[in-house]
Amino acid sequence: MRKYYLIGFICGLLTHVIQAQTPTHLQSNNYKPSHTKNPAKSYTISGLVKDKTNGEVLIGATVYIRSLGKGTATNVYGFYSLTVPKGTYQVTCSYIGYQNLVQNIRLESNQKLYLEMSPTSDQLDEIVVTDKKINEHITKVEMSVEKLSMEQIKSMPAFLGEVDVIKSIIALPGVSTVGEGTTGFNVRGGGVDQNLVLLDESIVYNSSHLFGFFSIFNPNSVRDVKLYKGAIPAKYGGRLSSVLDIRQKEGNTKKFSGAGGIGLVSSRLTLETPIVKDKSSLLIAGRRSYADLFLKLSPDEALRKNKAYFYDLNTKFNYTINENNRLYISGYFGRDVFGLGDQFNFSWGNTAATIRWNHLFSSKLFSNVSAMFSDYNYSLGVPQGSFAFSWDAGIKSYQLKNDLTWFINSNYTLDFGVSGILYQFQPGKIKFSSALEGVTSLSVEPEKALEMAAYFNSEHKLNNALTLNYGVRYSAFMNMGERKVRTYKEGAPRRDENVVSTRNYGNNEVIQTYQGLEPRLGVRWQLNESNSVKMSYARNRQYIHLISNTTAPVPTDIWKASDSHIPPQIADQVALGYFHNFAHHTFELSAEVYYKKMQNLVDYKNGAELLLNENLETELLSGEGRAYGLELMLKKPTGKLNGWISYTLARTERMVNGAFPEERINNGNYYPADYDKLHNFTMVATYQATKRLSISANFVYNTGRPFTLPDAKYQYSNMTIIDYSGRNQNRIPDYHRLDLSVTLKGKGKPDRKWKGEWVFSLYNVYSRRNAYSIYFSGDGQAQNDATKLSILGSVVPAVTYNFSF
Amino acid sequence: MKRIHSIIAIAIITSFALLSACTDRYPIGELANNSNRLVVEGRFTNATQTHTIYLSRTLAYTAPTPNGSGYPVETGATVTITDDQGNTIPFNETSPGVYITTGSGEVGRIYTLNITTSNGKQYSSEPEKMSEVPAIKNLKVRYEDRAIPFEDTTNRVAIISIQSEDLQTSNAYYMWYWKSGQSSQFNTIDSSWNWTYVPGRLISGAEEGFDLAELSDDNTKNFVKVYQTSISQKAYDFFQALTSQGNNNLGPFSTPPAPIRGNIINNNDEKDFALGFFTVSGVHSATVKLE
Repeated sequence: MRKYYLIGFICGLLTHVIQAQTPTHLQSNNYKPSHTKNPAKSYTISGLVKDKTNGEVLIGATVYIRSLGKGTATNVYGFYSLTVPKGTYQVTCSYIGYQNLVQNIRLESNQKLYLEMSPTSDQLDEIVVTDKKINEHITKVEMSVEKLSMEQIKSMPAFLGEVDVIKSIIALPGVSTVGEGTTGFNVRGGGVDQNLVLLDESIVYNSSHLFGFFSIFNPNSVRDVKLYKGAIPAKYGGRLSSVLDIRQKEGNTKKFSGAGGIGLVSSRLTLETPIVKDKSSLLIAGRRSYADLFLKLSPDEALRKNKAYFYDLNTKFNYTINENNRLYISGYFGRDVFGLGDQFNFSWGNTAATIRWNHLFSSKLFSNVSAMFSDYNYSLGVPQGSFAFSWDAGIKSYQLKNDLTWFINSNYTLDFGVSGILYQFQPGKIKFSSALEGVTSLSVEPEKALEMAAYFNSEHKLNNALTLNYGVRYSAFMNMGERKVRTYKEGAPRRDENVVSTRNYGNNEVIQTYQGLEPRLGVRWQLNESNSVKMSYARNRQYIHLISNTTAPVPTDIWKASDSHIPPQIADQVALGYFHNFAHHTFELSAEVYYKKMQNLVDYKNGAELLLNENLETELLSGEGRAYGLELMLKKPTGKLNGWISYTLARTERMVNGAFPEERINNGNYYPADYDKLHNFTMVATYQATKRLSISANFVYNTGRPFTLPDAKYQYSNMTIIDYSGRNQNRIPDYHRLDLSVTLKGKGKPDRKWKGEWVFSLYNVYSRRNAYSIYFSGDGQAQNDATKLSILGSVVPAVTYNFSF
Repeated sequence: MKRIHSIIAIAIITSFALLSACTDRYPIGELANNSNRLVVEGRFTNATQTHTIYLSRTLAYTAPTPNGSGYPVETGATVTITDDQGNTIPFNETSPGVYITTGSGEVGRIYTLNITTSNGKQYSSEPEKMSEVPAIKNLKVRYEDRAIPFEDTTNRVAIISIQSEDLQTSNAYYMWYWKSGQSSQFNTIDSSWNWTYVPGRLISGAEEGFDLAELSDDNTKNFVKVYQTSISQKAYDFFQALTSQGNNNLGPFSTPPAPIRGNIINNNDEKDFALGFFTVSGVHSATVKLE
């Protein structure tokens, strides 16, 4: 504990020392001094930045006063606050994809300034802002962050034409996946459960449709996607490796509008309407896949009874009560449904709901209070016959939080807040229609837990070159009854036969508490207008774990709380980055190196039985992990030709070295994690050939993932037994793929409301049969060959029609 | 519940198949190596009968799998069992790779298997204690019609149930061997016997009786003999690993394959351990007649 206070103290001290010692003349001539000798009285300009056409607030738009060299960016609710001395200024507001907005103000008192910006997308012929003097890439303290606009995501060629948020972020450096069509993503060597996926601040526990081929986010209702791969701000917590913050559109407050698309896999429609113009609006969106509808046409009755579809429903209501209060309500509901006639059915899905209240205490103090509900559950069963059963499991959480931002002055912003989450875990209950060995139902005891956190984070601009971002998050976790908890013999492995005693905990009685500090630190040193160096350190704690013993997660995996036997996972990550812009800020280059050390990772004993296990701790092992790598990215965010090239060189390893032989994997040595890929190269490019025609291409290349090869076989007790010498010591062949798409916009006249576009795409253009897995039939026959399974055997063409009105 | 997992995995793979999935042969010949390890299979009990140790060698995974006893056998080895009182029981090789003794053990003694191969390498087992085993109180047969999953037919099965004395010993592990035949005379336990362990059964003597085995009702098999045997924790883990190695052929949705380690080491080379297990058991047997 003491260590952290010391770090905090040193940070504070450092701040003052640097502030005191930086002479003004050292600052580059490009900058105006950030404070004058006789400061006049300061006033605050604050307000919202919105899209002029639909009233959506813009996240991360820059508000800048060039004559002072001062600026700020809007927060996730579109709010900004900038405090400057009294005077007359030209305020410039800029945002990618929008025309710069310049407004003159005379600042003699605190002033509200609402800025409404026009998109540039309709005027592509004109040269898009190259004179972008303010450059977030260089100036922002935050590093290891990737932002994708929906425009970028939509322009990337998509599998079967389904625009997909998760598949798009996999094209970013440091993000990988086990294989085509697997659930989730891996960030800088982190497991799939180490990503905090938020949809309008609600936790999403499983982001996949169709076992991971598609994600649950309807592209028409998503507005903004931001991925933190490291240096996670103190306001976020609860996962080790990343935060994927997805914000839904608010709904058009200006006019009734809609958007949608008809594709091969699914169709979607989003409707937005003002309820009271400029004050409140409602958004409703839906999406459904319809491959199963073709099954209904089959002459085969058994086939007609099969079901296989997914759907999503999104809604959002937003209401501006007055200029200091805004209210939002948003919801998501989605499910996957599979059924094989009367033989088997399986469904899973998420529910997420958020109520938010934005409140301005003053022009300098912004508050957001949110209440969230999340639910993930699955059910499967055999509906009929003597083997009929039904099985349900899932996780629910209720969260309440308050985040505040205090714009103290133009050099100092303080974020602080509190959060509490109540989790309810249902690890599984099963009901049989007829008694099996005299049992009609089985149920694993549900778990309950409370996770609480408080944090502060300050962004402190010491001078024009140096900005610090430091903060700390304190989190505490309580696993609570009602539950039976075992105590195992000390110095012996956790096995049924080593149970010393079992204690019954009453309802809400605290079984185990974990707590700790999570310091976060970021430093930006701006060398000049187009070069900066950034450094960060962050500790993250994760109290809930996805129990999954397969290489890629399956929808039946369950979440588990930390308890007396399973401690929280902890990760420490340091990163160093160099950021460079050139050719008048047309190109952005970034290079980051990171090292991440992880403790208490959950691993599994050989042959572990995880489903419906009352005493999961007997099957779990505790391991360590390390991940390190280099990420390079060259990005051209704007222009006729835009896109990026990224390369990641990375290593991810795990080690399980327990006290007993049964608690070791690979004899206690480091071994490559399932998603360890040494090289990962991605190219994403879009070329706007004419006003109506654009062409996009994706190319990916990565090292094949590791797998375990059987190396010998022998006979024991008349059985052929296979011998595996070590886990993950071989690799499947390297993966590479090229995708192309062409988007053809309709001859939209400016006054015409209906806008349509055709998207033609080719996925896996040169028909490479990329290995998904290598497997062995294990039938004891001659095995000179293994079988390579490829999900895609050839090129996959698709056509989608998108429209908006 | 393992079956549920397989069903899900099959459902996933099936849905992939709809998405133009395909398979190709993938040569692994150069990746797989022939470890040529020694494999030991043997049991030693307190029953007055012959005891057998089988010695063989591993084959490369890619080699054609021989039928039955076609794995390379280890001939010309010197095999003995020593106990904690300094007694030595020698084994004789009666057929290639099969080593037999008429000697038997005593409950409470600790036994070590020693092997010197013809090329002079010395292997030995970890010392294994012969633990007490409760007597079989009752062995019964009943008949039931079992539904066959996903089919509308049933199958008549003979269910062998077993009842035992309560031993009240903590950390006791048991295994059962059983075999059916036309005569009430059975040979000693060898690799032709069926075996099972039931997790959680008879631990601390808590369980009194349970269904041991199901036989499809076959009139030609008139007798079933059951051995109830005590085994060490390590042996229990070994047999559990053998049965749970399971199928690892469904790619990313299968669990990682597990190496199975036994209790035989090379006395001079840590890396040259042998595979397989030498079990030491107290046994108690009973025979039941099928109707």
